[in-house]
Amino acid sequence: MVNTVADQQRVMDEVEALLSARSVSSRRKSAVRLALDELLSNVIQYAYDDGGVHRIGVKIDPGIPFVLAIEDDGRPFDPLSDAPAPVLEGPVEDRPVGGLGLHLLRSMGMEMDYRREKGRNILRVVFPGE
Amino acid sequence: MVISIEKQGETAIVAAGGRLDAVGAPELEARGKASIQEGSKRLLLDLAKVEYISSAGLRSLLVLAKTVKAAGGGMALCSLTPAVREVMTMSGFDNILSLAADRSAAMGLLK
Repeated sequence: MVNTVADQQRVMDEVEALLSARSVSSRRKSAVRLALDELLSNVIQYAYDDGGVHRIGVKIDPGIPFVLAIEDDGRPFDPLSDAPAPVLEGPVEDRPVGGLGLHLLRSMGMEMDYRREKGRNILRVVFPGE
Repeated sequence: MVISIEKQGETAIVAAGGRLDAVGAPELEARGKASIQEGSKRLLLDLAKVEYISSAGLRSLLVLAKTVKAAGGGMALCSLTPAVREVMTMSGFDNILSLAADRSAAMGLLK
């Protein structure tokens, strides 16, 4: 896929159709959509400064464990250390808008590991067992 | 998103269906803000037909809650599906937004 929101939507729908064909549970499909939604949105919004077209790799291994990998050639970004901590307390007026995507994925039990290799960010997401 | 709005006095009852994601959330946010601008003091969001919410959806709910509060009103959500409720709980949004089982309970929260 490339770094556009339209292509992201297309990939999320295609992945959902593929997982449906493999009788993957709706809970898992929902978790995969959320991961693709949050992680690809981060890449498309923040990884590039040049306004150009970039290829983003999306790979899914629907085995045990279920693994998703996303690869991009954007600026180095390690979501495990570079993302700001989410603010989960406080009244409506004080809550910052945003910053929750990665927290949501972790809360759902996804484990992420990140590496930078040959100018590419490679993020691997391992889903919890069912 | 499929959005329909019904007015009851100063309350706008907003029924939303579909995905509250980067595509759907701005639609809900715009419709909710328009209701506030048109004079509604309270927003009741019925999310019975929303099967999915991402951080973009949470963001829009927070923006609407802030907007209506700044206008001197309030907001309540009702009829959350299990998937949406799970995300609300994990994000801590269940502590800052008013969640109700159904519309009449939500109306009670807004009084």
